[in-house]
Parts: sequence; structure tokens; C-alpha cells
Amino acid sequence: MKTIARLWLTAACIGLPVAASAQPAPSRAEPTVTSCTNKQTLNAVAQSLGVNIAVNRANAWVFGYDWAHVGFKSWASNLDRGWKWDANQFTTNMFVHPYHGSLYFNAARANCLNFWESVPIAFLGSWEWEYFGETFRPSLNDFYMTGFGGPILGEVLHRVSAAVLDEEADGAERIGRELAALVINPVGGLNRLVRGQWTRHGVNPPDRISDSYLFQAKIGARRVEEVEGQDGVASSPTLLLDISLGDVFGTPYREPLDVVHMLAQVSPDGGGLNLLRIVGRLYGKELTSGDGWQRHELLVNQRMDYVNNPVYHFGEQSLEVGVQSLWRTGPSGFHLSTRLAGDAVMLGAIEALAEPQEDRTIDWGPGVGAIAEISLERDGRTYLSWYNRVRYLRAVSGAPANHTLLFSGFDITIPLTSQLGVGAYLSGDHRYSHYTEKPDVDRAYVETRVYLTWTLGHRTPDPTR
Amino acid sequence: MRGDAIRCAVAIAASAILLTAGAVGLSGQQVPRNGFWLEGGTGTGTIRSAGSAAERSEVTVAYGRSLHLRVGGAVSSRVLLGVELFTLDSDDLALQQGDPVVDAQNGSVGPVVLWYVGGSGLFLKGGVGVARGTFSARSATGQVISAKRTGSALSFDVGFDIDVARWLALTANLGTYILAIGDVSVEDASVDDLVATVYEAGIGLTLR
Repeated sequence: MKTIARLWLTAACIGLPVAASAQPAPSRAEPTVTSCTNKQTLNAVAQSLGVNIAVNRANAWVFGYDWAHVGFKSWASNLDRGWKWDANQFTTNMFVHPYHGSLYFNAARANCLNFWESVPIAFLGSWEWEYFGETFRPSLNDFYMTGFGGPILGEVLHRVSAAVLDEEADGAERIGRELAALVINPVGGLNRLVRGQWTRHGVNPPDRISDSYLFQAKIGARRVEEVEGQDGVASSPTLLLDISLGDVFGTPYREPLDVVHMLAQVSPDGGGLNLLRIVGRLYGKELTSGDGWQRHELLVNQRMDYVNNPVYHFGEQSLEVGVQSLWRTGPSGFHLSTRLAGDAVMLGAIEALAEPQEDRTIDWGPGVGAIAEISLERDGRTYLSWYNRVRYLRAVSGAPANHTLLFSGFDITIPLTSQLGVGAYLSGDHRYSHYTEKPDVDRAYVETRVYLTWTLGHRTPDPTR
Repeated sequence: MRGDAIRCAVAIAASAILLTAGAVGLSGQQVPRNGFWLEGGTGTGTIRSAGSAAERSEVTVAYGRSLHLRVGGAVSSRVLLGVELFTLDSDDLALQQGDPVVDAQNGSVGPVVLWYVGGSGLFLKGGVGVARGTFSARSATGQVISAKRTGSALSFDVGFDIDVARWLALTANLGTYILAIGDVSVEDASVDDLVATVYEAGIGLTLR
């Protein structure tokens, strides 16, 4: 066992030194955030392995977890038995694993692989971890969440960290920015550190900051309750971060996730990080001329949803295909934005209410869905929005079950100054679960929020104005 | 223990070779398939059945005949998108150790991405989609009883195009399909939370 540990430790040390030795100093014309020319695929593979070794050894040596003491016996057992569904906590399954996947993905991004080239590295890292990083049998839901969630979360972190960095900054500001980027994108930050880029003066990538971006912080209170239910009411302070990079109509399609929207909610004593929703454009094609009063774009989006509030849990990795439209309303600059899309849920997760035993807390399954949204916007800022989403999940873990979910919400923001405003949000979510071997479940949930908003952003001017 | 070590070493070595070949090839230039392409192939494979509570000794394996059909187009110099239909038919699968065998037809349909690695024709494939499993057994009265389940599927392949003509290639594939089917019960055979793992070796023709 000690020999294995030494081998693992040795391998863990491979990745970053290889990066240091193999990566030449960037030329002044080379660097961009989303693409660079010196692809180091072997470095990416080595670093994803290094991530796994580091995480495994930390869990074995620092935290002393038995499951981290892997070896030939556990590896052979895992190879023999293959995949199963696991019963980990919802947060571990639906947030920690996508975050873990973002580390693999950004090992590839930090070595100049593009989005599509980095996706296999996320799956590779997850496969290594599931078979060789734990004594537990490989978990198929973890593989899905890491492999699909890692790229979308990782790309957001990659782009946000790139926006934080400033190659032209010096001194304490430079170190502060590098440290902040390290926190946001650890693998990318470590690569920069090893390559000596933390102090090297250079030229900022031209795409360092998106042409259009919007950063909105909302702080206030929220209340979530189950209607006529037994789970009661939970009220708490809340902080929402709403980040948009790119704009569907202002940013012509160039590459995957050139337009991405992320919404995260943290509520102390109210579920902690209880909401993370990322929608990123994988492909887009404008269907109109671009200068009319109506504009329509065909979109293929990747979507990640994580809802873990005190009264219900839901999550998914899905693909959306639909049309987003912009409807100009007049010379004021206000316009209506609509989105109609169908969804293929690659894997969804919802509480297994019919089987609340310790060994089954989540129903996993693929599904389909649809989404209809309308919002009133101006200069990229949303004043009113209303959404409806429906999901049908077919559980393939545990007792046969079909889940139908309807999510509806309304949001209003009233500006007070150019950056400050007040807002409110009301949503009603409904769940109907049909179990073939247990009684059906029919539940509804309501969430309300009131908050102050602070907005920072820049939008590409609307050419129709 | 020694057997485990050898098995692990072989598995790791095979994975390393595949991944390294792919990784090294990622710097290549040519795409063997341009524009619309169609690939059909057949082969042989194994399906492994292990329920949620299966121990190592309870895993069952059966052999079968495989068939795949892919069609798609090229979206960049090295990346292809397409749709794949895959099936593997086996007539001697025991869902769990000790169960009577059943006829099992398992497969998947869904989008796939192919990454060409280098100009040699080597490609990696990943796919996600819908899995379908049909399990049939004959009852004591001679009646055929079937259980059909739908679930989710993931697939990973490494393949190689061998040029035959400008528009035709012979294509070899090694792949794995992870088919999450769910609970299956047919006659006296049953398994909880079936996640069938299929390993397949096949050969086919590609029109491009």
C-alpha cells in the first residue's frame, strides 16, 4: 500500500512541473482567453490525473477517510462490478461533482485546449476518479454530473478568472488579482504560478472582458415553503449573484459558451448555496437580418440546474433547442425578449419521496421538458420577467417512477439609480410523482424574495435603436 | 491479489494507450470524413449485468452480436457531430447469478461527437442518449414474456478509418456503452437498478 501511495504521490507531482517545462513564454500576439495556439494535451491529461491524486491523498492522509485508501483490490472490484447509482448527499452529487469536473476541464483550458477538446478531459478525469480514486463502486450519476457539469461550470470559472486577471497590472494589485483568479479557477491559477505568469508583464488578451457583460448582486430576504405540506416554512437572508457574459443578439456566435448566464443564491441558515443555474450557448444561428424590429436566433444551450432549498431538491444536466427572440417596442430602448425551447434532460435528480431510506434519497433519470420565458429589458437589464418550465423525468434508479415538475416564476426590478435598484421575486413550483409501487406524491412549493440590487455591466449597443 | 493486480495493470495500460494515442493525435490536421457521412457496422460484444447490490461474484456476463449505425456531418476540422443507433443482442444473459437466462436486446440512440486525432484516421467518440432494454423469457406454458425498460445511455469509442476509396472507408471500433435501464423483472429473473455495461468490437463501412 505504501508503494502505491508513493507512486500516486510521484504521479501527482508530474502535471505542474511538466507544464512549467513544456510551456514556452507566451508571445505578445498569442494569448487569448478562449483560444491559444500552444495546445498541451498531455499536460492536460497529466494535470487531470494530478487533481485526482491530490484529492485522493488529501482525503486519505489529511482526513483519514477509509474510502480513499485505494489499491489493486478496490480497482479490480470496481472494474468488475461497474456502475451503480450512489446515495450521497444532494450537494455532493449535484454541486461538488460538477465543481470537481471543472477542475479537470480547466486543466485542459489552462493548456490551450478549446471547449470541445476540453470536454473529454472532464470525462476522463471523472472516469479515473470513479474507478480508481475511491474504494466505492463507480457512481454513474457522479460520472454524468462531473462530465457534463464540469465543462459548463468550468468554462464560466475560466472566463470570470480571465476577466479578473490583468497582465498589465503591477505590485499588490497584480498579486491580488492573481490570488482572486486562483480562488475562482484553482487549476488555471496554479498553471500561471508555475509558469511564472503571476509577475510577468504582458498584453491582455483581446477577449479578456466580454463585449457584453452584466454582473448583478442582490441582497435581501427570502422565504420558501411547502404549500399544505409538512416541511414547513424557512426564512433567511439571501445573496444572489447574477452574471451574464455575452449577449445572444449582441455577440455573434463564435464558439461554445460565448454567451452564458449564471445565477447563484447563497442563503445563510437557508440551505447555504441553494441555487446554481447556468445556461450557456453551445451553438447559435440568427434567423433574421439583424437590423429589423424583430430578431430571432436558433439556439442550442447547455443547462445545469441545482436547487437545494430547505423544502425540496432538484437538479439536472440538459440540452435546450429553441428560439430566442427580441421584439423592439419603440424608441425608448425597451424590448421584449422571449425564449421558447424544448429540453432533453441527460440526467435529472429529484428527492425520492417514496423511498426515504438511507440507501435511496434521490431518484435519477433522463427526461424531456420545455421552457417559455418572456422579459422586458433595456440595455441588457431585465425589469420584468416571467418563466415557465416543465420537466418530465423517468426514474431509472430504484422503484419505477415518473416525475412531472412545473416551475413558474415572476421577477420585477425597479431601478433607483444607474446601478442600484429594488426587486422582488415570486415562484411557484409543483411536483407530481407517480410511483408504480407506492402512493403518488403531489406537492407544491412557493418561494418569495425581496432584495436590493447592485448592477455593473456593459452591453453592446442594440443596432436597432 | 496477484490476479487483481494483473487485471488492473492491463486495464490501466489499455486505457493509457488509448488516451495517449488520442492525446498525441490531437495535434493533427486532416479530417478523414468531410461533410455528410454514414457509417454502419457489426461486431461482437459482451454485456455485463450488475444490480445495485451486486458483489463481484454476482456479476454476470453474456456475449452477443452488435450492430451500429451512425450518420452525421463535420462541424470543424476535427470534430464531427452525428446520431448513433446501437444494439447488442444476447440470448443467454442471466440478470443475476443463479437466475435463468433471458434473451436480452439492449441498445441506445442519441447524439454523438467524434474527435479525429491526427491525420491517421484515429478517432474518439462520445455519446449520450436514450437506452432501451428488452428482456424476454419463455414461461412454463411456453409463452414468451417480455420486460421493456427505457433509460439513459452514455457511450465511448475509439475507432479507426482505413481508406478504401476517396468516398469509402473500412472502420474499426472498440467501444463501451453504459446503459442505465432500471429495475428489470421477467419471469423468474430480476435485478434492481440495472446498469448494463456493454463492451463491443466491431467493423463497418463508412460512406463519406
